[in-house]
Amino acid sequence: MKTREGPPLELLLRRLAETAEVFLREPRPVQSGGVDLEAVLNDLLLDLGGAKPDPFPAELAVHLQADEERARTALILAWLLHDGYFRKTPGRFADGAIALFQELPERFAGVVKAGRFVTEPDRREELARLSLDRLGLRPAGETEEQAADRLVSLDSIERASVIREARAAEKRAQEIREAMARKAAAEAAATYGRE
Amino acid sequence: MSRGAELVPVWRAQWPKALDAWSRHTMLREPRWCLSASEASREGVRPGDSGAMIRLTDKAVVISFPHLARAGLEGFPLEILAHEIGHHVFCPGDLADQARLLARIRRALPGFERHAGLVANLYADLLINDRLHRSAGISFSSLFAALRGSGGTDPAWTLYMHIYEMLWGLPGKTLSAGELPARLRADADLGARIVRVYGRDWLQGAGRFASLLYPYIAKASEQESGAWLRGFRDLERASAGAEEIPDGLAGIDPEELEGAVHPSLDPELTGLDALDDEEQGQGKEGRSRGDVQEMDQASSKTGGGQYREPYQYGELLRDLGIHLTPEQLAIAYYRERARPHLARFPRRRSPEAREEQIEGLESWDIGAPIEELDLFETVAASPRIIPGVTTVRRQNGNVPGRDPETGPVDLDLYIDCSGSMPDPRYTTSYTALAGAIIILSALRSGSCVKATLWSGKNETLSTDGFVRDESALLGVLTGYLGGGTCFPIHLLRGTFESRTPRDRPVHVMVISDEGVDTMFADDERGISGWKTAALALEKGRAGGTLALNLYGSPEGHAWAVEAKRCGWDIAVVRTLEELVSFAREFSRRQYERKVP
Repeated sequence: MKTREGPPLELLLRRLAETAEVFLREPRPVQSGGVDLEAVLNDLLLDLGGAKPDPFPAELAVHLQADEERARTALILAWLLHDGYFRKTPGRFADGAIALFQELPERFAGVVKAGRFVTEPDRREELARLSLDRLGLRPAGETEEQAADRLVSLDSIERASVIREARAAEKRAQEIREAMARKAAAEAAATYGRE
Repeated sequence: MSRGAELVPVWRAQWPKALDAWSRHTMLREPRWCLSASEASREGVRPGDSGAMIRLTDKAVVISFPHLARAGLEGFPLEILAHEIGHHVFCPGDLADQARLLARIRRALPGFERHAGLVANLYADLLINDRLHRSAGISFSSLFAALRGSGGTDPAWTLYMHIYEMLWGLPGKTLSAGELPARLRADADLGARIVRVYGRDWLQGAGRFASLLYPYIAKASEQESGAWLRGFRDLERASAGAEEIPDGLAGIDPEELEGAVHPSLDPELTGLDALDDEEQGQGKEGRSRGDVQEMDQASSKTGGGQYREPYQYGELLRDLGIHLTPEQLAIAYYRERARPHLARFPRRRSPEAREEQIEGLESWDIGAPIEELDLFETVAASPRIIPGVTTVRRQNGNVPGRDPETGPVDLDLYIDCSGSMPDPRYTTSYTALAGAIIILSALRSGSCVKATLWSGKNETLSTDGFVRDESALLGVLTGYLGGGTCFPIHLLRGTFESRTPRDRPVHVMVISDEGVDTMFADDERGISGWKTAALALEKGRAGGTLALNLYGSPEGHAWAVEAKRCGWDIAVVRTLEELVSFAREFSRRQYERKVP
């Protein structure tokens, strides 16, 4: 998919690093000290200049709230998309935002805990880049290829799968290496110093 | 003017900035600038090197302009100088940490330990360059771009370069040139995380980094595609020519065992919660501390506890660039292992202490120590002081005092080195270790020691009488005979038959096993070993000990019962390892009684 130049990446990274405390609260009723995800989604879509509120945010919120981590990721994503860059052209990103809420919290469920999108540089960058990509944008100053490559390098899902395979392979390799080390030690003890 | 001579002022101007990149307080003398290949060679730079190196032994940085020009690096003075300073002030910093770094990396590269120096260099470079990039704003991108072709598309080089790309947020193939498959990207990500997580406590991350590189290095090594690596070894001879061996290398740091783990098995590094959750739910696929402890115990069983074997110690020193003969290595190894156990050697107590008493006056002449001038007596003899004529000093004599004087007891040590004992130069010999503890303790207290290694009657190795030469003694101790078992009675007889009461008392110690019974057989002259043993105790005047590795009770051996009756102390150890405790306790147990 062809992308257009979007905002500077640093802008979004800083925004994620400085996520407002309220967006890090538990997604549960406001009365019990949490944050109401449905209300957040409604406000966001309004601010992005979407169509008048319909039942969609409510359905999405119910779906997301079925899993706490999914809901937390959605809150952080909402904070990111509330950046002025996305709000300055009303209507341009509203549909894309809905697609993002449908895809990203699900994508990271069970792989990356939401808090890491705030605390870890790589995960911040992954969320920011992925969001831009899905909105048809790339970071300012980057070529299509650079942006795509960096996104591949940061891909948690691919990485989790590779690391899972690597772990299994490493466990086997470790056993082989330990056996090799024992054999080498015995041989070295027999030959050392006679070189 | 040569190109090098033109460059010196340019590079010299960057030196203060390079120092400031680490701290305004960094003090290091200016590099040795080599303008010609011959100068560089004298400083230890070899033809294929990159042109910058450090020496930890004299805290030097060496810059060779001909080499830099060939590598296309002469335009990066700040980057290169700051990098070399980083080796001195950050990683490895000194010889001891370089040795620990190598030890950890060696453990993670079974079968490919010969590449430990290279991997240590790559790891140190990564840490330094990232620190300079982040904290001092020195960009290495241009320098690495200049080197981009160095490693071609070799996967190890590609991985290494992609780690930098991950660290500095650069798109793939900015610095790297090879393919970037998913596994390599994931590995590069783990490599970058090692730098971030263990950047401050970098020794902790060394084993993980080496484990990450292991399959790549193994492949490059097998396919001989790693020729590029040679140019990056600015630490290769960092410790060459070191005269002192860093302390603590015989021991194995527990973290050395713990750290040799692939980063995908370290939850701190994967950063992926699902994998950690899976571990908890499915009985731990990753490696927890418990797993590591189990490994540690397993390793202890095979690796001789928390200590390296002598040959492993030698290999580590060789990696460090310290080349010693097997004999020198063995001496250094047992000296280090003995050190924690050294005790004050027993001193014989005798009422010999003397006190000074004035016996008269004698002339004090110019040239004699001024503090010996007795001014009171000089003035009493003549109010006019004429140096050398009227000046006097006291003449003192000694009289026996009330306090007993302590005097060292010499040691005549016989160590069984028959075929049943291990060769101390290759595997840990507890007889050699116990001997080292006793010998070094004896020397510390002022005693002289005669050490004899024995196997057959004529298979012996001995010092030239009672000596205080630590190296000569340990040299004998760490030798190996490995023949039959026959105690050299003639040597014991030769030592004591001409000894007089004026000679210092000598304690006789024999470390052996059941083969010690040959000590009491008839010698080549037909003289009974019992007679020679009694002679040794009588003329030695300080007792004798038989430290024996016996499986049964000494009472089960007639010779042992008789030896005890004749005055020999018999110390039995069930395992050779127990000899170490015996040696440590020996002084107290044997000598705190009053020696007649």
